[in-house]
Amino acid sequence: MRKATVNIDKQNAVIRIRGLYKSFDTLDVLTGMDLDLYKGENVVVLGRSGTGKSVLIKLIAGILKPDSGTIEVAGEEIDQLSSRELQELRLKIGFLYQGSALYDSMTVRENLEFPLVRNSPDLSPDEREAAIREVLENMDLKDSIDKMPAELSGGQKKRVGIARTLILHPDIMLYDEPTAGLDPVTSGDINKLINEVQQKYQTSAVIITHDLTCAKTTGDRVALIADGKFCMEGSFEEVFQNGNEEAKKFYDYNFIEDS
Amino acid sequence: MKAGKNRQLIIVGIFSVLAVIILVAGVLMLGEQHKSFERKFPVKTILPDVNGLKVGDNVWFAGVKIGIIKSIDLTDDGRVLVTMSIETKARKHIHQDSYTKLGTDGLIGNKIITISGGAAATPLIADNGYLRGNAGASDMMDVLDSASKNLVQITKNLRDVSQRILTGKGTLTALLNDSVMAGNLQYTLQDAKGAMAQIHTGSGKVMDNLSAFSTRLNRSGTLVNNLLTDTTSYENISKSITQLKATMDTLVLFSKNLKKASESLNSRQGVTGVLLNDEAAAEHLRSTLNNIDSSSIKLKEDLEAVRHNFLFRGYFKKKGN
Amino acid sequence: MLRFFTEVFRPPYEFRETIKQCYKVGYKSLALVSLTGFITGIVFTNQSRPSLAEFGATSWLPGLIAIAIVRALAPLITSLIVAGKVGSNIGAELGSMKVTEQIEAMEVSATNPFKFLVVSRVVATTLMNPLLVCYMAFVGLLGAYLNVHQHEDTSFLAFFQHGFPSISFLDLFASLIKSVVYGFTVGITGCYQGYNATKGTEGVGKAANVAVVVSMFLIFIEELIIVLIVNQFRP
Repeated sequence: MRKATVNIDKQNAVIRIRGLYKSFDTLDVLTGMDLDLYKGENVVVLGRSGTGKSVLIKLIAGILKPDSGTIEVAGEEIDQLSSRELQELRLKIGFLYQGSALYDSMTVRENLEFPLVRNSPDLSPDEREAAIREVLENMDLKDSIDKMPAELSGGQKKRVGIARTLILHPDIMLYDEPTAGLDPVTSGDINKLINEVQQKYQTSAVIITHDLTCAKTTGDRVALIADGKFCMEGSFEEVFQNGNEEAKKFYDYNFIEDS
Repeated sequence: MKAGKNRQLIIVGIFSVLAVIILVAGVLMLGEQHKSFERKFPVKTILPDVNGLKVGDNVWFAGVKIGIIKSIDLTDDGRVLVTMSIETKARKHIHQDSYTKLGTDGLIGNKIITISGGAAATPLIADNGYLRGNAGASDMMDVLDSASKNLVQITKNLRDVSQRILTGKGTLTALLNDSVMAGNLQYTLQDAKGAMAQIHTGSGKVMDNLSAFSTRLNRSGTLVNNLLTDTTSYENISKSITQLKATMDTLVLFSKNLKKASESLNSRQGVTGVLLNDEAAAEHLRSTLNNIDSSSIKLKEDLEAVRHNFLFRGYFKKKGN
Repeated sequence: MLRFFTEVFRPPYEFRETIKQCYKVGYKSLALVSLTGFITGIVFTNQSRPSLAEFGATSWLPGLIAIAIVRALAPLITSLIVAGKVGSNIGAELGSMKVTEQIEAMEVSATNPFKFLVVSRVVATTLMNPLLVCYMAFVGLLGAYLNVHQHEDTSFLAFFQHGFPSISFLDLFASLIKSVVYGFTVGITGCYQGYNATKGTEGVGKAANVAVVVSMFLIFIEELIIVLIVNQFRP
């Protein structure tokens, strides 16, 4: 289960977050958060529900706007971009939604075609088909190409979701609860897949989860959110073996729940 | 997959084309009906009163629609300038001395302008040419009405005169000397003549109207069934007209007699006894008078009946306004 | 709505999706619209007959029906049906796409969901509604004709010759304008409600419901306004 070593370029941060604040109405969700994501690295963001994990990656993807603080993605500050520049930047970002967010009126092929047609209009239909087949093969989904999302299992949907983001060859992957709602075996498959993606597609990733197995398997580095900022950061072992209260609580709950 | 997309495209295409065909067919039919696609030319006329004529109403020639009213404007002197848009192909029937008339497209229908008359010798009307507007009672009810009023008046006058002659109160000399009486007689005769002319044209007009109306009924066929089956109104109208004709004929006869008599009086050539002693003539005169009397009463009754017929109620109401 | 106009003419065009929506809006509603139109024609004719017969004026039936159908019934009823059928569909579809984050997913995959979802649908309803109105008017007049034929034994030609003079080009034009406006209304209302659905399944139901209610209401308001405006042009 332990992941293979990867090349992490510590000199090269693809995401750099400084002093990030975000609140909704009176609720302060993020209060001064800092994070660096280095090239080739998988960072797992752990936290209980409602701690603002999803808000964090939506801020990174530019779907939400921060109240203050800066987010630099691939050297560009998201806040300063025009909508066209933001679109271009988003080509470098793959986003896997918790619910996969497959377009349920379209087949798997059309789901994959959708971003491809619109962002690489130069591709011939044959090249498009080849690209779709390739990425589906990597996800082990060849047979599902003409199925509708409703016909797929939860794990298959996640994989189609990943395939749909990978088809644009992003540099950065953002996973929102990739294993939520899946059984442990399927979760394990997904975790493996995340690592494969990291290897094969040379991506850096932010993985949001509260599943410690997922965190342990996929994370090169783990960051724990509490009270709107990171209270702990380091390898999985570092975070959970130094006796921090918050980490201990989280760890205990997690395994009581899971076992 | 691809086939499905193309199928949708084809179906949407067929669907749209069909709908557009329906639309175009509708527009074409509408154009046909409104004669919008015919080539047209403008003709103007001035009428004293258009009685509610509207833009878009029809223009008829010999009962055939040949155009529509384009605009209606008041002139500086308070008359009405009506501009009509006439089909070019109807131009050959419209001469410079043709005239326009306000009418109705049936008894309860819209107002129309009819163009009629025009000698073949006169040149054809030009674009924007003016046609003479024909005022006067163009309306069959008006004609019937005024005709009957005239008749009553004439009958009264005649009775007066002949009564005097017959009772001998007016002996020949008295009659001759009574200049008032003589004048009266002259006047009455004149009047009768005028009325006669009016009735003549009037009844002709009424007959035209009526026959046009009934042709229309026949042509429209089953749709106006109810109008046709309403024979009372139809009968009333035709009865009135027959009556009018009969009255007129008697009147003609009578006035001829009178004229003869007065001519002989005037010329003093005739033996004085001729008229007075001629019992036969007197008798004739008397019976004629009775005839006129009864027929004019009859006419009045018929007109009244027409007037109260249901279908005409709206018409008279309109007239009242 | 402003966004619609800024984006509708800007390439790239979502041609495929628009065709698909046209198919859904137009062709899929055709049966319903035709049936309703046919029945409307028959029923309206039947209901109008007694009052005209009282005046002995059943010959006016074709004219009356032609006016009623072309001027009022066809655009109004068609649009209400489209509002009920398509408006709710759009509201629910976009609403569920919104709450399952599909719309957001399109956004992060660097495509323009507004163009793909909203513009295509609004264009579809705006284009298809007038066409449906044409069908409705045609089928409605056909129904009316059948009814008149049955009772008054009128020929097809006579029916249309009596019907058409009552309609003017203004009527036809106004009806087309109306149906375009109503189609746009249905599309934009459905999309607005769906696109702005709040989280949860309840939001989807609400979006669909409100889409129908609001678009029907707007259609009636627009009818009122358009009729007032058109009457200014009537001679």
